[in-house]
Parts: sequence; C-alpha cells; structure tokens
Amino acid sequence: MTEPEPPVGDDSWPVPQPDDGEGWQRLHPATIADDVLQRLPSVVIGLFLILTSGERDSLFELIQLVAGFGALAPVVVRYLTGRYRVGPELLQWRVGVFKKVATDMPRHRIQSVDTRINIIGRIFGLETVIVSSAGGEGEVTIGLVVNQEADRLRAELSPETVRVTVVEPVEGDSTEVRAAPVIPETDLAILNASDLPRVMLVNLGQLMGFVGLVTVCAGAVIGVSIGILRPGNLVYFLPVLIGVFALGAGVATKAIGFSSELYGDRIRVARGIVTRTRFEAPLARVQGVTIRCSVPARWIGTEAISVDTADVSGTSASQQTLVHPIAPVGQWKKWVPLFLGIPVPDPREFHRVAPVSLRRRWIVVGLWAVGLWAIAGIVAWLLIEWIGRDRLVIGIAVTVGVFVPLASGLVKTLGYRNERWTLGDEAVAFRRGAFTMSLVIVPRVRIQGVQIRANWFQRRLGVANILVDTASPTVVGKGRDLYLTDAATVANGLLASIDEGGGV
Amino acid sequence: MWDAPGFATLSATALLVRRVRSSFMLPVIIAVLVTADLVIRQFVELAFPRLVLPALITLAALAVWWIWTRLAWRALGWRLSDTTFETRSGVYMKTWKGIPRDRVQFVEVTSGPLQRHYELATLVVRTAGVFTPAVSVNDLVADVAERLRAELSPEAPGGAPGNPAAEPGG
Repeated sequence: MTEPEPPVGDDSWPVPQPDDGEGWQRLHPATIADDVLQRLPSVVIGLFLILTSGERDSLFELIQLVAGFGALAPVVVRYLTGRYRVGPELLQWRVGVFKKVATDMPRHRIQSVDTRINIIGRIFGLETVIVSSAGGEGEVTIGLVVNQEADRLRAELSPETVRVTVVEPVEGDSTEVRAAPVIPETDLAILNASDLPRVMLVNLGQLMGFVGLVTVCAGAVIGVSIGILRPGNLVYFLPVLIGVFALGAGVATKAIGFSSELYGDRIRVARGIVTRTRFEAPLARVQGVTIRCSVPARWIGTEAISVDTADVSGTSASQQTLVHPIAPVGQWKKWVPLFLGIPVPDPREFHRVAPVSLRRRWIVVGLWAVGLWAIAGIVAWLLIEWIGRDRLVIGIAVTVGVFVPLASGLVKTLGYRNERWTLGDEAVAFRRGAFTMSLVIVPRVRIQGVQIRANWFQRRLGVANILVDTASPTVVGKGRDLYLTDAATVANGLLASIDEGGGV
Repeated sequence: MWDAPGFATLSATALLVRRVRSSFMLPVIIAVLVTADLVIRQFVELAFPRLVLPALITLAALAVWWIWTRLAWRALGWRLSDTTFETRSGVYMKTWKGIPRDRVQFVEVTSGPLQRHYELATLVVRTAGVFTPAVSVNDLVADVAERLRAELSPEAPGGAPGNPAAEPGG
C-alpha cells in the first residue's frame, strides 16, 4: 500500500491549516469596550433608537428596534467572531458574520509588527497588535490581547533575517530579505517635555492647516467687509484658535513620549502618551529614507527623518516610521549609511532640473492665474450685483488674492530652485519643495519600476517628469522637468543595475 | 524614450476592436445632442433647421475620434529585453513605463467577449510598486499575450533577448 503524496504547495505561499483546527486564540472581552469607544456615534444612535422605540405604533417600533440593535451589533462582532492563530508558516485571522474576513498572511512576508495601547488597553492591561505585510495581504489588526501575549506575538512575528532566510525564496519572490549588518544598540531620538516647543513649532504648518487657516481668515475678512462682523467681534474666532491649539496638544502627546533606537539589525520607534504605539521593523526591510525640513524647522536648525518599509497600511506609514522629528541639520548624513547600508549621496553631485522649464512653468501658471482671476472677477461682480454690498469687494479681493496664487501654482513654482536629482552607484535621490523641502533617497535595490511622462509642451522643450517607484507608499522619487536625456539616463541606469530578488 | 527602436506595436485588429469598443458611446452622445437641440429650441430661435446642428457636431466628433483612435493605437507599444519590460502610450501625454523583469510579482492575461471574438487579450504585469503597480498592454494578439505571460512569469527563466513574442505584422 503506497502512502498518499503530500500536497504540493508553493514555497512562497504555505498551505493554510483548516479553520476548525486547534490553536485558535480569542480576543479579550474588553474588546467590546474598545469597540464602543471606536464606534461611539453608532452606539449613541443605536441606544437612542432602542430607548425611544416605545413611543410609536408597533410596526414602526419594530423597525426602530431592529435599526437600533443593528447599529449596536458591530460592537460585539469583533469580540464574538475575531480569532487568530500563529502557525509555523502562517498568521491566520478570522472575523465577521455577514462579511467574513479570512486572512492568511505568510510569516516570511511580514514587514512590521506594531502595537498600540489606548485608554481601554491601559485600564485592562491590553494591547492592539497590528501586523503589516507588503503586497495584497495588507494588514491584520489583532485587537486587544493581554500585554504578555502582545509581547509574545511581537517577538514571534517580527521579521527576522535569520528566521526568514530559512524559507527558501523563489526567484523573483518579494519576500527576500537581505542580510543587514548587525549594528550595536544606538539611541536615535528620545524626546521629552523640553522638546515640546520645538516639535510644535516644526509642526506649525500641519497644525494650522491650509484650509482651516485660509477659511478662518477669509471668513473674518468677509464678515467685517459686509458688516456682519465688527472688528470687536473677532473675539468669537478665539474658539477656532483654541481648536488649533488643541490640535497642537495632539501633536504634543505624540512628541513627549517619542523614542527611537537601533537594536541589532532592527529599528524600534515608540510614541504617544494617551495612545502608545510601538513600531519595529528590520533594517533589511527599509525601502528608503525621507528627510523633510519645513520653514520653522529651518529657523531652529532641525529636520525630520523617516524610514519607510513596504508597509501598505496607507499614508500614515510615514508617521509610523518617523525616527526623529527634530534631528539636527545634517544628521541624516550619519544615519543613511546605518539605515540603508549605502554611502550618502554627495550634495555636489546633485543636478538641477532643466532651466528652460522654469520659463515654461511661469508662463503656464501665469496663464492659469489670469484665467482664475478672470473667473473670480466675474463671480465677484455677480455677487456684488446680487448682494449689492460694496464692501464685499474687499473681502472677495483678499480671498481671491490668497487663493489664486496658491491654486494656480504660482507659489509652488517658487520651489523650482530646490529641485535637484542625483543618480549614484547605489542610490537615486530627489530633492524638492518650496516651503517644506524634502529629500528622498531610494537604494537601487529597492526600485520596483520607473515611469517617464511628458505632455506635448514638455516634449517640445525636451523635458519630462520621472517617477521612481518602490514598494513603500511613502518612498517615491519624483523629478519634474528633467531634460529628457537625463530622465532616460536615470531610467536606463536604474533598470540596468537591478540585482536579482524582489526588492521589498 | 518613445521613439526608441525595438518597440512592438499592436495589430490592425486591435485598432478595429478599440474603435468598436469606444463606438458603444456613440448612440448615447447622439441622443444627448438631439435632446439638447430639442430643449434649446423651446427657449431660443435657432437659424439652423432641426437636427442639423447635432448632425454636424456628431460628424466633427466622429472625424476627431477616428483620427485620435488611430494616433493612440500607433502610440502604444511594448518592448521586452533580457532585464526589462517596457511600454509606451499616449498621444498628448506620452508615458513610458519600465519594470525590471525580476520585480514581476505575477502576470495576468484577461480577455472580454469582444477581445475573444477577435482573438485578442490584455496583458497585465504586476509588481510590488505602489505608484506603478501594474504595466498593462491592451488588445494584444492572444497568442502573443500568452507567450509574454510565460516569458514574464516570475518562475520562468530569463527570456531571449529582443522581442521574441512580437506580433506578426505588428
């Protein structure tokens, strides 16, 4: 009697164990309290519907009760149906009743393991574990488990070079992890209350927010212009300013407890006071380094440095992997070799984009501005005719004076002089920005693709835009209006020297 | 970039399929124009006889569409080398995309009813990139798409240089 042949599976995609097997772990009952907080509006609506259901006829009462319980139901679904299992090759996660989610994430594709502690977690001693991977698997949020279990999961699931290389990578597979040099434990950033003023100043732009600031200013000017507001009434705008300050307090809570360190071959970041987040990823997964420097940051001589993995959890990835929000200027030159294992791009080798494009840009944005001003003028004239208030002219003029230069790109074009690029032996780097300047450094081995685009005007001038893509949503090299020959040189140079492996 | 030698273009059948596919919108456009003509005439006295203006606009749009589809078809191309897969496209905004072959995650070949009737298919080459997650070529000859899929699939050994899967007469 011959034994049955074992199932043949793809090495890069382990065969999942059946859902009815052993080893499944449930979530902590406090998950319900956590979900109540997260879904507070629907809980309030649900309770309101249930509590007021006895005031009408029976059919309406039934509908109201069903709607009320329907609004409350999602609160208990995660606790009742959520379960996870850590197998030798797979992390499995199941949740849902009507819409069932079944995620099987190969452990060797895990990019990072992140834990968060919110107010409920602090009360019950629980943490939320978030496991991210590159590619379609996305993200698994295992919430809430006890601290010890979270530590075990983080230790067990964190991608490690030694463990990952046990899995033989398929040629071209995205899971290959390059061995990173072991680096002695190094503190990168430890922020405390004394750093708060600098962090808030650096985040000034983010705090005020373009839309909020312009809306408030324009509202005040228009209000005074048309006589609805007197200058003395501007005191009513204080709540808005307090709101902006509260946003600043939000930034502060993240800043005070911020710390980052290099530990062996991995990077660890912890931040937050109210909600504490701990992020950990191996350096071998880092896709690139981004350095940002806002105007206030330049005043006080700091810059923000972030490293990015192929975490596909969205735009917040850059916040997750910020390793120092107020690093001294030039610190990145010491850290880039540590993070990426490549030499720092030489600032003297940065090339400017095509000078001819500046004239083209000014012409284009000038035309845009004229067009927008013309439209705004017509709208303003119609409003004045309709409302019949002369002072409206002042308010509209101020608003248009602020909006048009921004919308037409006049302000953005100021950043032209900062746009540079360089192609080194081991990395490509792009610098850009008018007010907030950014420098993106992408190692060649991380490049997933290159795109060059040029419209008819650009082709007439012999310039083009280039985009150098990686597996990280926040690491992308963008160059505007490079000479077409330069863009082709960069593209060919990058594509010709890709080594084998997935580059993730 | 766009004028570089070695780019394979699509077959004449692809142009036909593209025109047939985009012509599905034609009745909708004509209906909108005729309705607009009828509605406007309720309020304004026009010099033209009824339906002449929609007919003229439709004819002009047809001429532009006919030329544009041909230009777009001519602009499309792909090139396969030892190390890269490249595509080019666009008439006003020209785009060139290049992906290293060893970054290919997987390759899809899809075909709709119209494509199947004319033995065409769409090739989608996917990478782990975020901003250029896929490079696709529409309306390839089905056999060529299958050969490209086999050549580009991650488990396949490196293909021969040049465009071994180039379309006949492309």
